[in-house]
Amino acid sequence: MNRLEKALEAHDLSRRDFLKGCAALAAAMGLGSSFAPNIARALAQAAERPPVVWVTWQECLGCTESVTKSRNPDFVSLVLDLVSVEYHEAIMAGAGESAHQSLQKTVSAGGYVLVVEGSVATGIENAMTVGGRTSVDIAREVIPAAALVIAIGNCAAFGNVQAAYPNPTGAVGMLEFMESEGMDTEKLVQLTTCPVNPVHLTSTITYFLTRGALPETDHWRRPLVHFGKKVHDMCERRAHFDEGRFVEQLGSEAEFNRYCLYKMGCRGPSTFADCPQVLFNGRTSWCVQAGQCIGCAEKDFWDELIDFYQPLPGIAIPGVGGIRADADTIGIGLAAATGAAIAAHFAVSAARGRLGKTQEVVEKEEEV
Amino acid sequence: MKRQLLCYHDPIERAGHWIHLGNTVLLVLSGFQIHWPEFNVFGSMNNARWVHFVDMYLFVFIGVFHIYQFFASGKWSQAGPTPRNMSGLGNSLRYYLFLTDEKLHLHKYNPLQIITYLLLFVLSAVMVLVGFALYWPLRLYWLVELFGGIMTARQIHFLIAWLFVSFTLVHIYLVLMQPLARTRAMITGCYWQSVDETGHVVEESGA
Repeated sequence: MNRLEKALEAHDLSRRDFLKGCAALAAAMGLGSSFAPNIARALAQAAERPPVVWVTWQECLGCTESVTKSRNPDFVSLVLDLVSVEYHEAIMAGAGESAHQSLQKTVSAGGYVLVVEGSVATGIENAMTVGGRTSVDIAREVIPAAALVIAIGNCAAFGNVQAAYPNPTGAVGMLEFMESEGMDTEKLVQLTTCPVNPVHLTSTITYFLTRGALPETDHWRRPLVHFGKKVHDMCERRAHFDEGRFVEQLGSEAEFNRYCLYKMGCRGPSTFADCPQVLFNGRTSWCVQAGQCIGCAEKDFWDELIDFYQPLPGIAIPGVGGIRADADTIGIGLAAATGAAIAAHFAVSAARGRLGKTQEVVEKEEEV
Repeated sequence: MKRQLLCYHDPIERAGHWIHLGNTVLLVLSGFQIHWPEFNVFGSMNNARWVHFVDMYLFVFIGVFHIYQFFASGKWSQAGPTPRNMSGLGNSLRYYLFLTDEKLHLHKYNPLQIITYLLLFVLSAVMVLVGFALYWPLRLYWLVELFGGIMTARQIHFLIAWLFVSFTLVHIYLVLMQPLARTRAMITGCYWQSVDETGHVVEESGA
């Protein structure tokens, strides 16, 4: 008799009751009853799997949506086969004091996987509270005891739109927060697309569970396997770029023909992610099939990559708040100004009678 | 009347000048095609990128050779920003701002020229650094961050390209303000000048 059978017997539940409960749980999680057998199998092994604490701070719950609404087998393999989510404010059954106790119990045991969704408010700390505690306060408690910290989404990694200028709440991502708190960032992995791609999350956790280590990361702690190449270099429209076929206007025939979106300001050339390969929404689509890349995997993309419909963003003019000059205009203007200066110099030189007057350094002389 | 042979540039300098010009023109044209794909000089983006990536190495090699040559040939004593070479700076500034009509010829290069070429060299070095940051953004991530991210690096790269264009316009203008025989000296190295008894230039011809 295995542990699950003992537990069922202790609760006076039949096997059928248990499967019904799994189906109900699957439905509650929005996964459909066909996932019930997987849930059952996963629950049967619950005690042997690493616990997951999933905290949500300044964010839109889009990452949870992205993960839970993904199709088989992404979240299924995550929650049901690999890990045991002990605490998730949005989708856990418990609430109030019982939820709090669940968190306390897991944290005091240590060694859990911490999934962070959303940025920490360090400027106005009370801008983000859960159960009366600020995000900074909770972060200081849950991060040190975790075996692995996975920052999912751009908010958790870089602060995303909350951290965009002027960043009123002092929103910071995990890397910056952990560095400023002197925490060990070696256990941090950041999955920076907005929202997180379920494939990235399951792949990272799977890697950790099977290898006992983190995948190789770049300087932003992003796994190189997912963030080691530019979107542009793997894009399905890349052949059109190389051959010079571009969309110049939305709604045109060129767009219908799926030509390259570079001239429409696509941020694929500035963005590191494998979106063209893993896609979104259960591998049905991705941004370039539905519009264009805006660089959501990059730090401060709201500040650095804006003017989303221009290939090269405008340049902020110093001292004049908010006014941005088009890079093309500045470049051509510079050349035009040079031409004007030359013309002016020529005119004044002519007026002063300088033209044709020269002096030289003599190298060699001979009489003729 | 007497003929004077005026010599400016040794063969390596001249070859370097024209190779650098051709290379930089290719770099700027291919760069502009990469920025504006409709500015189609090389047939396709693939070709433009190929030209850009080959010529960028040549740009670096020319630059390294230039530094070596600058010191090895002793050119630095004439064209380096030494106190001696900078001595006519005030006069040069006044002359080019039309505050005086008297132009002193103390050395081979006037101080403004030396400063301009020094700045051009610094700009080229920044251009190369930004370019390689964009070429190897992962390997040189610290360089990308130094320049403020990929997008800002691209802006810097683009604007320096325009500064090169701007420099070239002024350079050609100032060359054309001189007698044509001297422009030929950039090819032949020297030219002859015929001067009458009173010191006035009668004729200039290529050597």
